[in-house]
Amino acid sequence: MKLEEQDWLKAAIDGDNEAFSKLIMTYQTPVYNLCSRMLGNQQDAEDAAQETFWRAYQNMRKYDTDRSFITWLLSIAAHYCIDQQRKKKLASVDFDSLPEEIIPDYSQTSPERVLSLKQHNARLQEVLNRLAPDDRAAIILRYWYAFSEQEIADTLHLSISAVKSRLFRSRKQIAALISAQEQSGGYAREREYESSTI
Amino acid sequence: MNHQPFENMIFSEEITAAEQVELQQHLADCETCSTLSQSLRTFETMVNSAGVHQPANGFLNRWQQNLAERQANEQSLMVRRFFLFLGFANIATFILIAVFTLLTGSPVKWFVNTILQISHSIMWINIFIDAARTFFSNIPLYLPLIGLISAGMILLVIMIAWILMVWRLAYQGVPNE
Repeated sequence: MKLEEQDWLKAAIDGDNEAFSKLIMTYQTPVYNLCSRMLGNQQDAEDAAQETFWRAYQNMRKYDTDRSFITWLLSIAAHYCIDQQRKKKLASVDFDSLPEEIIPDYSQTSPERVLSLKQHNARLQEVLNRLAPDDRAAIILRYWYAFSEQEIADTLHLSISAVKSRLFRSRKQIAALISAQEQSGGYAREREYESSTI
Repeated sequence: MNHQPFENMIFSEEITAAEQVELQQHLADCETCSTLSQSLRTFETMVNSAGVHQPANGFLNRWQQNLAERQANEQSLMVRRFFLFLGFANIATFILIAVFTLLTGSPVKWFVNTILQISHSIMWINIFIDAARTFFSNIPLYLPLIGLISAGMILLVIMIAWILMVWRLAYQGVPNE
């Protein structure tokens, strides 16, 4: 964490709304990305990210400064999304509702390419949606945030052995899902995409 | 063929160099394990090229707007709870007094005592009115007028302060600090 971020954090703990706004500007994308990957829907992700920052704002005084702020924020977001997922089953992925990506930049690509990328992203989300919410959270933290097992354990309030077990089970399920989709021909274009990007 | 140890190697992140060599040899011969391994690699490639979802522009503005609304709602809720508590406390007190009165004496005695109390009160009010009449008939005319105006102004100030306090509690709330 940068020095200025530490200053914002201290000020935010003391009730400075402007400092908290700066923290939102800094961390809105990682929080939103986690919510989006967890919930698979733009509007739900926006609501979940807003709720995460509201909960963080309310509990700033309880925040332990020895702990990583991003881990704390993502922990709030992950638990909120897991609760939401338990309340309702995910509907099938709607291509038009998928959030925009930072990478790759669609403005530089042809319409066919954009469609291909969106399909690619939708299939990825489809695989994630098949995982149990707790397993999905562990996989997202591992692959999108490169969190260690210890960091995932801290974020999801689990033991390291539980994290290992979840990651193992999820990888196995993901491999089975992708194999099944490839056999049904769903990933033929995915393969083309991969070969064209390498 | 027993695939279990090789599945463990494919899906576990903790794999030694020797196990890696053993796994590669197995994958070359076993189509089932090779497919699983390839599928996992496909997923990892998809993740690497998927990028990061970002919120629509104006996320902070929307948050600040939400914050103001949520704080206003919380303050209103707090005031409603306070008045609700006062109402319940009044009702509970009244019920307690009624129950206590009914338990400590008979209803007839309670009724007679009430009538006696009212009679005494009326008697004392009459005595007070007579005393007031006597007092006001013996003082200069301007004094009661000044007294009434002063009392009225004090009451007006108290009433305005009370209205302002209730308005502030209801619409502005109390700062956290």
